[in-house]
Amino acid sequence: RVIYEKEKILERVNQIQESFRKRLRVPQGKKIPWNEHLSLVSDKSIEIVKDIDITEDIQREVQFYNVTLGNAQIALKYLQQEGVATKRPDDYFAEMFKSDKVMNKIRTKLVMEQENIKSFE
Amino acid sequence: MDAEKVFDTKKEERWINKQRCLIVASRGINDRHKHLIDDLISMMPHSKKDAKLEKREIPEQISELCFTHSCTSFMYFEARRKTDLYLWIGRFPDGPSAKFLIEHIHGSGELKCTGNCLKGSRHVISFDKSFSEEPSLKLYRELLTHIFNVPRYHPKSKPCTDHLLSFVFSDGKLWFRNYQLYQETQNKQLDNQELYEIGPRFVMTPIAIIDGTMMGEVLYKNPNYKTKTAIRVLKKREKMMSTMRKE
Repeated sequence: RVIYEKEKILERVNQIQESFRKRLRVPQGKKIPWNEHLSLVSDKSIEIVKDIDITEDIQREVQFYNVTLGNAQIALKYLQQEGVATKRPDDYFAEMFKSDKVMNKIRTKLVMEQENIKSFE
Repeated sequence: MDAEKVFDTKKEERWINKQRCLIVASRGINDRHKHLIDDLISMMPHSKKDAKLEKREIPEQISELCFTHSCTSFMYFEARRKTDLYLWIGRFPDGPSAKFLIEHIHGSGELKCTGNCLKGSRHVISFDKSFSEEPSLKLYRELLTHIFNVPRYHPKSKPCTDHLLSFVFSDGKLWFRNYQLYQETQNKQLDNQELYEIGPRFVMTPIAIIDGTMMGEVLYKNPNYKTKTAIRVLKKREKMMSTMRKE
């Protein structure tokens, strides 16, 4: 048996949006500032073509990148409009998501790979 | 506004959006699952973590934890058979909540991801087109934005927005990626952008939507979802058949 209560689900979506509006004290009829939720929906979707030379995984990966890049460009434009920094100043030191140890490993790996390619030539 | 001014503002005074997200796991998660949860926690400064849960009366335990930590939403990771990971996301106190199966986990420590970002900086959350079409996906979009969104001016957040979480719907699954927003600042052109993946990445298969915090009426059930055990049984049977044919 298929269970899919579309109307109830859409009602729930509206409820969540309304509660967010109340939390931010944005009056009815006014748009919630984009800077508060920072979410974007692209106008592109993923299409996987079967039975061609490229595997599905590679197709998917390339299309993920393209859809996300499209969104990233719009996001950066919005962020500039709102005056949000997208890069830290050079004298601003803070803890990073990935530690220096991990980043060093990645760097040495990249260098190693390039040296390998050179040695083949 | 120039950068210095942005970095000077006092966050606490303007911090209105006090949404918090509870992140807990059940007993029996393996190290790969643990790394994923740690990555998510360090990405979300508005999250509250708690000790691993015993697997009984889960909805009551989750509600109690959400209440004591005053969280508006929760992520509950449930491990089964030490290999499979399920994720419950939802809102407290009046739901709804959704259940997913999580597969193909890659942590942020993996070496092919070259990007990096500030710890606890805010992120843009990006979806593809299908998230504005199907009602179930619309609900997922709403749940995910409010769970992952780092509130503006959160005291533990950094004033930069330097990475982007991407959710893409493909093949009946939700694919999660985390990219660094990278741009050349020399000539202020926005065209020459690149994205570097930061990690982690994983794939979520929707299972069900429930009206309430983990209990109540079922609003949606994925008809194409097969349990991991059923898939394993099928594989075993196929293997048996092929060996029988050989003999």
